Parts: sequence; structure tokens; C-alpha cells
Amino acid sequence: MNPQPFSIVPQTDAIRDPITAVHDFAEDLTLGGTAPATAQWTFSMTVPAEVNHDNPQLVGFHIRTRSAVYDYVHMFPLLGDALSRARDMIRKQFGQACLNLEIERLPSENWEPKLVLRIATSLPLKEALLCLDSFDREFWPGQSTHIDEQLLITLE
Amino acid sequence: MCDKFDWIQFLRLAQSMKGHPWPVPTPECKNRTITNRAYYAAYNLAKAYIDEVSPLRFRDDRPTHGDVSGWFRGQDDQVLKRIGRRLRDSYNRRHAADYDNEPESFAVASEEVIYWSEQIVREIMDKREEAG
Repeated sequence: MNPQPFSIVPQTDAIRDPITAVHDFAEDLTLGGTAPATAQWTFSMTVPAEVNHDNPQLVGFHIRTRSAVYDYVHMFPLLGDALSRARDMIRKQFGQACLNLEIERLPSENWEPKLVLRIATSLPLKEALLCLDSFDREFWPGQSTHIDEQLLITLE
Repeated sequence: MCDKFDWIQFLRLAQSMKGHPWPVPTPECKNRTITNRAYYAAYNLAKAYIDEVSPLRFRDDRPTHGDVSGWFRGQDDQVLKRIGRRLRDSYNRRHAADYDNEPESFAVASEEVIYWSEQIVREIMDKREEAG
């Protein structure tokens, strides 16, 4: 099948992370049943330079609550480096995994908003827990207490 | 079709554990209960550990779950910090198991909390041994 051209007009919120925006769009299209899963698409996107706030430290993450995540990382700048490091170590421990970032209000944090990195993996659960444990032992000792207060890393 | 967890299942489980002749509770009900019980084993042991090493820490007020995991995360020792993070994660799973209406498979959450609780119990026992 020949690739079909398709162009996306992104919402202001989405163009902060064009790669994720395209990925989300393609996923919605496929999961929504409006396009056959086997279809091939060629996406193009025009992002006005003045509103492109893409953060390279967040490349490789699937960001669910985009504005909230960007604002949170902006508010706690140390998080950017920590996330880059976490992403590389998770890739090393888990191999392929989807890294979902989201701002959540959790009971353990008295419902205060925190950044949560959820690792979605196809590994069997026991293996995934071992990987998370190894990641934990390697990642957290080098992090400041402030990171531990702002970021939770767990399995999806 | 009911799209929320049927909370009466918890009563059915309690009755069934007491030997009442009720239908067997659903797997979701069992997994929510497993998540809860596994968490409390670790949480109460962790709280007791704080009382042993820092007896005045919570003298004047009852600690919340966050206070207990926060105490561990605030220590310099990496093992204690890890215990704190695992307690925090397990508490969030337990909270969902006890309060979230949405039916979902707690099979994964229950396995995860058992795994972390086993680790927490083991590490606290080791710490006690180290302290003599």
C-alpha cells in the first residue's frame, strides 16, 4: 500500500511535543477504528517557531497531561535531568517500554499534584518488578531528596 | 451490567471466611483484599521499626501512612529510603483497592504489593539483626 499523505493541525497544547502529538493522533486513529491498522500514513506538521517549546529532556516519554507536565518540570528544573537519566536507565533495564508521564494527585502525597512516571512493559510481572528494583537501586542513590519528593516512578 | 465494583463482595468474602455458605467472592474482591492485607503487614512492621529506633518520633500524634513512608524516605540509609518508596507505592495501590469504584484487575496490584511487602519485611528484619 502506498503511503497516504495526511496533515495535522495541532492544538496549541499539543505542539509542545510534536512527536508525541503525532504518535497520539496515529494511535487514536487506529484504536478508534477509523483507519485500518495496516494503513500507512505520511504525517506532516507545521509548528510555528514562536510556540515550539519542545523540551529535549522529555523526548521519549508519552506525556498524558501535557500542559501540566511541562509546567511542573518548568517549576522544578532539576526534574529534567532526573527524567533524562531515568529514561536511559529504564531503557537499559527494561528494554522496550512505554514511559508515561502524568501529573497525578495521589493519597500518599496528601492529594498534592506530583509527577508520576509509569512504566508500561510487556515483560512478565515478576521480571518487571525485578527490573524496577534494579533500576531503583541504580537510579535513586544519585538523586537529591527534592527529586524523591516530586517524582514517583512505578509500573503502569 | 454493573460498571462499578460491587462493594457487597467484601461482605461476602468476610462471610465466606467465617464459613457462611455464600457464593465464592469474585477474583477482583479477593485481589483487592490481598492488596490491602499485604500492605498492612509491611506498614505495621515499618511503623513498629520507627518506634524501636526513634521512639519519640510519633509520640504526640498518630502517624499517617505518609508520615511513616516519609520517615523512611528521609533517612540517609539507602535501604531505608527504598523501604519508604515501596511503602508509598504500595499505599497508593492499597488505597485504590479499598476505595476506587472502577472495576479493574487488581491481580497485578496484589502481586506487586506482595512482592514489595516481602522485600520490606526482609529488609526490616535485616536491619533489626544488624542493630543486634
